[in-house]
Amino acid sequence: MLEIKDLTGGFEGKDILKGISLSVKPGEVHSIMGPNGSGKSTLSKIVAGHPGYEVTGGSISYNGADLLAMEPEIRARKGIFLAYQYPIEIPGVNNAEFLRMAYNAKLKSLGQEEADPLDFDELLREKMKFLDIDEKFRERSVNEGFSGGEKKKNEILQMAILNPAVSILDEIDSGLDIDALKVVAEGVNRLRNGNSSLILITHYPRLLNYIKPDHVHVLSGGRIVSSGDFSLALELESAGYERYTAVAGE
Amino acid sequence: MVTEQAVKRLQDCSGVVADDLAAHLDSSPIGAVLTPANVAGTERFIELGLPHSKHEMFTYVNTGTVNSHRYITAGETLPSPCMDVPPECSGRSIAIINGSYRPEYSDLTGADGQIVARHLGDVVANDRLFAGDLIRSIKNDKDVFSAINSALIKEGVVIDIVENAITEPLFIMSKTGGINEGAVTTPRLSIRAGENSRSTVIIVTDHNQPDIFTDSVFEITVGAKAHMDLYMIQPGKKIKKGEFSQSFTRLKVVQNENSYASFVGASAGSPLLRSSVEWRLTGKGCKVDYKSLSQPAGADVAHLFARFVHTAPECESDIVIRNIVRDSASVSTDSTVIVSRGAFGSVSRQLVNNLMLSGNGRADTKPNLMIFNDDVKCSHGATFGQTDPEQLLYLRSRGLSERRAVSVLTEGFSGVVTDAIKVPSIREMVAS
Repeated sequence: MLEIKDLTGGFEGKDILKGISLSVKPGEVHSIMGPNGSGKSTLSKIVAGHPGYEVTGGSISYNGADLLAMEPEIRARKGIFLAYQYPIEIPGVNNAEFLRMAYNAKLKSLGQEEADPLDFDELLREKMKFLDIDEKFRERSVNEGFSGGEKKKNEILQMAILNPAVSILDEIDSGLDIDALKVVAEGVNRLRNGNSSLILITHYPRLLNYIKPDHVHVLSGGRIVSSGDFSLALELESAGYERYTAVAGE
Repeated sequence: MVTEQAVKRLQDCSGVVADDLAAHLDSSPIGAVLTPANVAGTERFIELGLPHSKHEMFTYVNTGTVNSHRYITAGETLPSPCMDVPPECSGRSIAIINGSYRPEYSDLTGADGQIVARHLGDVVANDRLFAGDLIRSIKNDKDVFSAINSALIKEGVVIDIVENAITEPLFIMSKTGGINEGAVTTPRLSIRAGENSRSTVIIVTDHNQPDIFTDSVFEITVGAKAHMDLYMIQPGKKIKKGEFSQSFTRLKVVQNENSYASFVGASAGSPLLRSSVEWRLTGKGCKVDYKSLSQPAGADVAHLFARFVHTAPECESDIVIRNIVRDSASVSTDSTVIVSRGAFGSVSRQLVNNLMLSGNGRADTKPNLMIFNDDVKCSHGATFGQTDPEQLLYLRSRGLSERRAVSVLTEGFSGVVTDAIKVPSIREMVAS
């Protein structure tokens, strides 16, 4: 589904990623863990198509197509979703209207007619109820004045509406207290199915207590320095990243 | 005699404006009820002189075009007002055509007697207090185009919203058209909202006509404890490329004790548009929420010169001015909050945001504060920028095309102003 091969790149002329390879198959949950500055967010931004980041080598193939040749909106319409570590506030843009536009953009790309506003309204209500999100989120501007937890919930709401094939959750646990973390993780778990894949980017193993990954990767110095199953996350919980930063020469 | 003296003084001035004002005054019928106003306006014009770019009020205005324009008043030849009254205002509409109040096209049958409209001349003839206030207002006005309006007015309308009235929205259309090119029209409107009244007033100014100069003066008094929502809308332009029109508007608002006023001004652009605002908070505890949106495009030029004057204690002004500049258009904003001596406990927030959608556009902004009193809280600021690249990416990463994302962000930028319009059809008109 998503094949990353020998990916190098970064921003402002500096390579942050120094040769990453990762294969994500349908239904899999991958966790990418690592210390600050290891390149986790850079990887997520390159996959999503952030124009400020440049790829200097390697490739990303998505269902056989060259992902790197696609504009960010094309990637999104084809099923790539990035839940932002710091969701962007957009004052004056109604959240429900924004979600409807995003949903319709996807339908249009699939050759389908735009959703009837009433039908979409029903879908939105259903998803909000499903994720236990307050109705007030509908009429507010996108992320404006939201708490950290509310922003993260709003990201998951977008994920629920767009039903992406590959979701990258960039530190979805940051800034959340334990109760909010449980709620967000439960929402993500409810959206999991056999066809969609998840890439969880996180510093802390605690998120993985709620969303169990199939594969855990340790990213350090711009490289994946170790991969394993959930037991690797448990090891990191007790031993930290010291061993891996030494391997990466940091 | 007074008229002759004014004409003589004008003849000593140079320029076509003075010549035209003198001709107008000379031809005024003897004893016309508005002649004292014409003379006062003329005297004020002579005192203030024609603007040039060194005048603070006109720093960014190309005064050459206005100074060379002929000031020949228009006849009333528009056959029909072509006025689309919003459904929320059914039975409450006022037509001002080429500066004249036209009762035959107005309709106040739905106002239940709570809104009364009269010809300015009738009010001046029968209300000495109003007549005196009018002359004082003309003599004290610092805007030369307001003086020119006063020098030329033959007509006008006075609208009274009675005390304790709770009214549904009132629609006022000031329209120009069907007149000789090169003419000047001088709409003059006074609104007096009585004590403890609640009203919504929508003024739509449709003045984009080729080679027409519209010089409007709108004076509004908000009575003690009254609440007024005021919308002033200049809809999309109808000027063809290469044609030119000028629309100058002077808005003077006086708020009395414990009154509240919200204002939304929106203009879609015009070859030359100038708004001059004087907003006075004269009674203790009054508050204004002022929002404006200007969207010049093409080679449009838009100017806002605004003064918000706190003269009484514990007043509050909240000012948000947003400009969206497209193509090679230019916009200037010179706004000042003045806190006078004795205006203790004043609170004011002032923010001017400029969204530049083209590398060829221009925005000049001066958000000023003049504080002559202790114990006040005032803030002012301005921003200039293009669409935020992070916001743009966020929208694109949800599947919106870049063009659509820019459009959404632009709508969001203007939405901060347009969402404050509480009349749905007007909000939709502005948003579209």
